Amino acid sequence: MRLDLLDTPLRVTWEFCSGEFCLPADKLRHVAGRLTEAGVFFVTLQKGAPRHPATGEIIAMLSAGGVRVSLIAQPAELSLVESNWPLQELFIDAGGWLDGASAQEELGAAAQIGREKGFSPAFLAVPLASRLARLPQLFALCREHDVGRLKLPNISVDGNLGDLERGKLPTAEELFDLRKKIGDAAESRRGLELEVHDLFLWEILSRGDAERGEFGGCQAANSLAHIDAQGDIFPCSSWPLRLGSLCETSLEAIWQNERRYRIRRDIEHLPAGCAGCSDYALCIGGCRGLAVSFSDRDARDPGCAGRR
Amino acid sequence: MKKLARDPQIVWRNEKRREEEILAALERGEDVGDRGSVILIVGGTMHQLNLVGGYIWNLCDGSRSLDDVVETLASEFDVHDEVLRHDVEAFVNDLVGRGWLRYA
Repeated sequence: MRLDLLDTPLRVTWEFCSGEFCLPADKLRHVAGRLTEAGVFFVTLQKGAPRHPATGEIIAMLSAGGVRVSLIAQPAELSLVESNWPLQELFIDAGGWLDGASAQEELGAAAQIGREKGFSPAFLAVPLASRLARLPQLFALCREHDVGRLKLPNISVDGNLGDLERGKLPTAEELFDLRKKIGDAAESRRGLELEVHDLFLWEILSRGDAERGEFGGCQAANSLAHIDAQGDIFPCSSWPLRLGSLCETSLEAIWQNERRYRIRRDIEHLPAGCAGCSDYALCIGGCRGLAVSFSDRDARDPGCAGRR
Repeated sequence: MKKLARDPQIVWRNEKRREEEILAALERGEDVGDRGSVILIVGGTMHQLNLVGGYIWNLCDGSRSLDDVVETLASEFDVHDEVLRHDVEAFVNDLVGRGWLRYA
């Protein structure tokens, strides 16, 4: 299904902190008000949200405004999560474990703390190139710790693009290696509900399932948006083009500005790199944010192996 | 008579700006049957309802029966009563079948 252009986004990711800087509570309240006014359906709080003193208040405010709120916490932050927070979903970031920076026991303990606080925690890991090889082990880890759901969100890109950032993205070759390593995808993900943002990764991990219900092309600057720790809003976390500030302007007004429409026109444009590909009707160019960020609007998704 | 109510688990909203655009297109005599003015998420999947579907959806707030919904729409649309009833009933039955609406 291709979605018409929406009045405001439906799903928003929101960073509370960047390094040592965290948005002050009054600004957080202001942004939360913008989100409820705009009728956003889902907000995922991340990066410093569990440790911000105003988080409980912001979650309550969003929830009272009809927004479904999820929270991403580092394993060490689980102790800061309050059992009375009305969360739709609590994610525990397993990225540190995939990087070899934290122990399996730490993740297991975090899941247990989450359960003791009344949540059914899920694991989450950004599928960086360096992490792909350990994904099958992460699936097994989920089963071992009775975590029934794993989310692999899109890869965030900040404005300082460079070789290091590019090297974080899985290449088509690395995805091909993962396909070989995974083997029987259905067996590998057995007992696990997987949510995979990246189309090519989803293709590998979902073999055996035909449906990808929601995918109707890149939803950046339409149903998706991302807010950084300054209160600035972006098309999505993979597209570092500032659209405006929610501290200064309403979300409805930002979603009507020319920058937003230009992005949507770029997304509708058939990339030259995809011309003639028989699968374009399925992927619709994949992640346009990554393609544009690391090349231009005529480039293929960096994870794409080429025309089929 | 039983009232029609939406499944409270379904997240939805009216797209006000889109609705204005659709009404303007309707005025110009364009076909707007495929253009969505209400967006909803059911089981993680997004759906759109067109203008008339959106009106019906909004009316199904637990306070109106099927007859009430038809009567309300009849006052707004210049359509023969029987045709309107047939169309509304078909739409409502479809959504009841999907579990999105129910008789309470």
